[in-house]
Amino acid sequence: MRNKKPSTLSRRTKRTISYIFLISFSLAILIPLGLLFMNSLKTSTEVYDDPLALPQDPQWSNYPEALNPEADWGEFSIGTGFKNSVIVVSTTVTIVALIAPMAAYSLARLEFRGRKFIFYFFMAGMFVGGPAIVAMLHLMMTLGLVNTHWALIFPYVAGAMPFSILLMWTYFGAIPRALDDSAKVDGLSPFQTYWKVMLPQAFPALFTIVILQIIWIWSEFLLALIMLQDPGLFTLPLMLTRFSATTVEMHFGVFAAGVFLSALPLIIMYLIFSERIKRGMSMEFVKG
Amino acid sequence: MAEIVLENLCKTFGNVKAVDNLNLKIKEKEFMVFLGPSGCGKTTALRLIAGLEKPTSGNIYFDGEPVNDLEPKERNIAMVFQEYALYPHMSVADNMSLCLQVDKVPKEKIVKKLKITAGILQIEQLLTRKPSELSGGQQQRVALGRAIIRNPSVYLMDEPLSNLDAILRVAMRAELKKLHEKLKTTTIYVTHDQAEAMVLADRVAVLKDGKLLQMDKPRKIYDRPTNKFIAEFVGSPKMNFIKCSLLEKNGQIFLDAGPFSLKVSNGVWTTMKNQAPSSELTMGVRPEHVFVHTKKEKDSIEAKVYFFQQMGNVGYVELGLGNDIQVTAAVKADFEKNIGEKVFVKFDKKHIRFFDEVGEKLIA
Ligand SMILES: Nc1ncnc2c1ncn2[C@@H]1O[C@H](COP(=O)(O)OP(=O)(O)OP(=O)(O)O)[C@@H](O)[C@H]1O
Ligand SMILES: [Mg+2]
Repeated sequence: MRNKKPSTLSRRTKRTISYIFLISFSLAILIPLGLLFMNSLKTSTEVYDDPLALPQDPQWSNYPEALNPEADWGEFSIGTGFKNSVIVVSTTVTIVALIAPMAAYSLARLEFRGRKFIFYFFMAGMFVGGPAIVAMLHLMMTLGLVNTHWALIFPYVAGAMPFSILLMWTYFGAIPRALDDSAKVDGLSPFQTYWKVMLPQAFPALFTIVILQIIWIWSEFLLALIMLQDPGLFTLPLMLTRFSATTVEMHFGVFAAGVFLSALPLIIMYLIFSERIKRGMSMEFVKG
Repeated sequence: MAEIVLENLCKTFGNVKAVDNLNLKIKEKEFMVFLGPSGCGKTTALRLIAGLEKPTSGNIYFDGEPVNDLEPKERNIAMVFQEYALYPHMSVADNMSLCLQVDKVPKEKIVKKLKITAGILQIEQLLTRKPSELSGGQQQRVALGRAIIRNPSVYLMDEPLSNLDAILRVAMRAELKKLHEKLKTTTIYVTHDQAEAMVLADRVAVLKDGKLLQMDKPRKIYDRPTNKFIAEFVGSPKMNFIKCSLLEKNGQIFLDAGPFSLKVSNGVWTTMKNQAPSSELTMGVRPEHVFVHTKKEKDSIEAKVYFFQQMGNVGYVELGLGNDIQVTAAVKADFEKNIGEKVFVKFDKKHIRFFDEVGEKLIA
């Protein structure tokens, strides 16, 4: 009796609280995005007159302008930034997608000495934080990689490993042992077993880590700032900082268009894949 | 097709002796059934033969060649797993033909073999489906198809019918038997279902606690089980056991079970005298060798009806002999006596078996 009332009450309260939280969180993200888009269609004067007003005469030309490599925006070029970001992101993600499942597979299913240690070693990597960036810079300098894309790719790959391995590890761990036996009887080599039997079953997890890494690396700023000096190599987030203060003042609409464009791939990806990301995270196996 | 010999085969997991000094020979083209209760080491024995498990000690020979160090693939075995173990992301066709694909068998040949195999198992219309889109019985057939599509030297089947419903199980049982008649491939079939063993096997090996208890033709195992455990495990309803002791009275030998006693012929008596460790024995008689009469006859034993089970074509009646002996007898389905009524029982003497008191050993 005593338990009943508070529990129904608290369920309702819980729901209300979670709604309030979710709504405010959505607003916190949607409002700036909306404002950004609105301002990307204005002239600079309009922006400074009233940043909250709707554009009088939508300046769609701000978009081609932002992408124009010839335009004199100092050393700022969204196009170059875009290209560099794509190079860095795709290389990183390809490497992670190749290595992480293999590592996770051997850690989850193969018997060898030191297996636990290696697993925990990777997991400890999740807790390596900010200060490591200095060590990273030092390492990249020693390797002579500073001011190349590799100075980003290697640390990104390293950073992606712990979580990716953990997620894939849980997937591989849940595949029935009998399938290994099946594969052995069918005459598959260990690598064929991995490639033809195990990996396809972990696709949802692989998909999730790929998407999450793209989202994270696409917007990574700090490491890029430290490792790169040549503006020709700048990734998008870094490129946006090259828009000098005065240029921003003069061409705010174009700047806003640039920022919006750089965020667009992530927004689109999230809209398309949010369901699958959630599925991969919750380990719901895709049957068949 | 191969002859398989197991020699002093042992497998221990920690301190569990899953397979304990197994010695047996499976003849070429033979359908051998490993029969035993859950946990007796059937699967382990099969996995040892498959090469999925390394023996702790002992040897396995295929056609006289030791195969201890060969991978499953090199032993050329085909296996049907207890839990099917189909690849969930592959179509039925791919599941069945993966072994051929790996062997780089030409595509046309694979297609041809798929068609033949699917035809035998009647799963032609399922080839493009995924395992998750199949019923248990269909998955079962795919698992069998995966084995049949090749020409292995031996089929290893681990309770392949255990997940099917009763009707399908009986139907598939017949199919398997026919298939073996046709292919004549050496087969080792694991089951805990004694009826399955009786129907399928050329010979049955009864296992318990990792040990081989008896190996013989199904009929022989049913007729002359070498100990009480087998006598109980094989046959349904199980054999009746009655404790009795040998008595000599006026120069004649009797078996005294309390409420009744049986005269023993001289031949049986001689064997017993030589074999039995003591005069205390356990007598075993199957329900179909207990005859129930409504009227008293010569040498018949008075009994009381406890319970009647109607099974359709036959009936089983539980009878009380005296105060503490119970026997089950097979009777016609139209058996008319009610519970508590008196009947008279005779045993078919030819089919009475005698074990030592604890049931370790068949005596006569
Ligand atoms: N991988 C293993 N590790 C430890 N013990 C095992 C392993 N495999 C089997 N055993 C043990 O060995 C014994 C025999 O097991 P096995 O699977 O061969 O029995 P089974 O006769 O096939 O039983 P069932 O009819 O239930 O399938 C059991 O006591 C089991 O617990
Ligand atoms: Mg088993």
